[in-house]
Amino acid sequence: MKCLLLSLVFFSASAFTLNKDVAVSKTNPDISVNILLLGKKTFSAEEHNGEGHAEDDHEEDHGKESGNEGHEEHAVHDHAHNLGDGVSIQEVEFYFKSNIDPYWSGSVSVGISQHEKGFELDLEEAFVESLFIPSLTIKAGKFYALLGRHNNLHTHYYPFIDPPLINQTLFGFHGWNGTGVSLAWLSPLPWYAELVAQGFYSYSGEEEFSGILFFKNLWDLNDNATLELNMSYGAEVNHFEHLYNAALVWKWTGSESGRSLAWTAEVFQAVADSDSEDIAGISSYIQWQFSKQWWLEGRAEYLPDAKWDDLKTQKYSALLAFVLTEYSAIRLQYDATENGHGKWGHGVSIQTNMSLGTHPAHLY
Amino acid sequence: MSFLKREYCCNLNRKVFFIVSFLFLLVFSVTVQAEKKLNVLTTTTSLKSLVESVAGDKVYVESITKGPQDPHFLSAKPSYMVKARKADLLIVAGLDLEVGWLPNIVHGARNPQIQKGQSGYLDASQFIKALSVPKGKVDRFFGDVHPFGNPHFILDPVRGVKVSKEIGQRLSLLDPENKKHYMENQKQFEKNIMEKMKAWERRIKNSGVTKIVTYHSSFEYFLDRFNLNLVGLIEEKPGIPPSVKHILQLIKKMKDTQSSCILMSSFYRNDKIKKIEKALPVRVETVSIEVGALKKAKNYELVIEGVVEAIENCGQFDKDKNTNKNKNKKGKN
Repeated sequence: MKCLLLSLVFFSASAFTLNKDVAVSKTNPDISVNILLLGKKTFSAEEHNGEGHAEDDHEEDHGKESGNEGHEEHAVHDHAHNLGDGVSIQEVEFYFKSNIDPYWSGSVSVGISQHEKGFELDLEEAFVESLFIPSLTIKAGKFYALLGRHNNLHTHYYPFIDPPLINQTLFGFHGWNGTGVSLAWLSPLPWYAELVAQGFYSYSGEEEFSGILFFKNLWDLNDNATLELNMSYGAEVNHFEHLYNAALVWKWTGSESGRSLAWTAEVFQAVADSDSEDIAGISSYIQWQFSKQWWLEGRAEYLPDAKWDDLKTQKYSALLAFVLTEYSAIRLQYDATENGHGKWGHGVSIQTNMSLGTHPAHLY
Repeated sequence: MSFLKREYCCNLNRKVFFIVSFLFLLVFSVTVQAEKKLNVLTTTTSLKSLVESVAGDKVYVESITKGPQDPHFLSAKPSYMVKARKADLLIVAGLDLEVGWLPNIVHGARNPQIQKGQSGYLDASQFIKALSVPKGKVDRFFGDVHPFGNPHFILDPVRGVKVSKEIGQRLSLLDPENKKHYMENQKQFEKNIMEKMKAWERRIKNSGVTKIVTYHSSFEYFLDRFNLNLVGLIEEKPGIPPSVKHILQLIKKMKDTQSSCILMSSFYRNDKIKKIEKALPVRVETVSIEVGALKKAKNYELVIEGVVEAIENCGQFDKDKNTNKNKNKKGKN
């Protein structure tokens, strides 16, 4: 791992020094580096972040129905991010992006994150995409699965400092990615209607196939507002037999730049195979850009028990972001979490989100 | 929460299948009729206006940016991808003006014809000489510098005409049947603008204004064309709002150079400008730098006309100021 890390640092360093040589830099891929620095403080022994919550749930479940082995699998926690209070490198993400030739474009992103014992290197995405087929994009390689709206976001794009609880519980802190092929078809319907089929293959002792169907719709309500409705279905993803997701986004952007308001709601239902428990959850958040450089956001989340009879965990977050330029932002987040036993934990996080290199093309 | 009960959810499998098959049916029943007219998509309204001047009603043309929107800061709305998917020709300003959103739109459109290098992709900036091209490495300490030069070249009528010529040629290539129409229209447009040029030059000269302050470097090409001097920028660095210190320095500079004309693009609004207004007798003129940014600017020619008028207003302001001064002097005597 150290070797990989070293070679990566060397590679990027050489890419930057080569920049002086115009002939070379003109064919270099676009390079950008995101540095996410995180400071965190929690105010209760029982405070639960996403990982903590999931573990707790499972302990409780074990108590109720002893001998249920399947739980452990669901709690695919990313212990690398189970850092306690203090200051840490949340992640350093390297992006390389370029057209390969008239037929393909390629993209690689590598993330380095901190855990108790040091740093961990992860190949987040490495894929090629077709440029030559009308209405269809073929993608092959390793990439984030299109499961709902949040899963395929890179860490620096997260609307809050941490992912929604349900995403953390189902897929860990970074989201679920795999190696496979994706077909994304833009239908000729008058609104944006995209149908995506993704197939993933992995081998760890035994062969595993996962499949995803994703259907995205976006309508222009007027020049300033859009409504987006996503539905996704996953089969055999992360040991879940079925995964269902529905996501709704309403977004308004002011004609004058620097004003926007968006409301997102996402529901997950994961159906496990017969010997383990199902998981479900809702997250809903509002993002309000009230001036060019300032954002105020609020999020509410529920994780009910699998039968939706009872709310097990709830979490409320508020975030204030000061976006100095398109390349740097400081974000402050407050969380209040109830872990299902009536006990509340509180936490404050501060994150600096900086971007070096090429101008990013923003997602909508 | 009862509507989300699990029993309900498990029917989803069948439902998803039903929805998907329904959609396939719907999609295949939509017959896409072959359109004879070319579909042209531009990133800015000024480019759209140039296309209209050259093509008249022989093409469908639409701009992604709407009048009041700053093409710097658009987000890559998927509905733009739907438009780009159908486009035969995509015309962009270039020089990274649209870097924050256009790559995602071209990518999401899945239209091989409008990829860079194809005949359906026209980068207007490739045909003009760019100003303020940074030498050597670009350092963001100096703000959001455009690495390939200032992208606001469309405000120079001569460069605008050059772009219209390239548009005419590209349209002729894609639609040879109407070549004559495009070429004649373009010649007419060129003749018209060049005639107007003479009048604009004369009017600016008569206004007596020679020194201008602007918010962003949106007017660089315009000032260069009409031999006007830029005294300073209100924003501290490209994309960086002004600090108090910067404003004080600018006020001093304006005093020293006796400049009083501030041109603001309607895209920018900043309270700091009031500080300058309090400190000095200045005329602040808000103008359209793209077609439709303000209602008056209905087409390309009227955009330029608007800027010229603004400078005339500045000139009038100076004259009034001077006559007032003289009156006061006389009164005292």
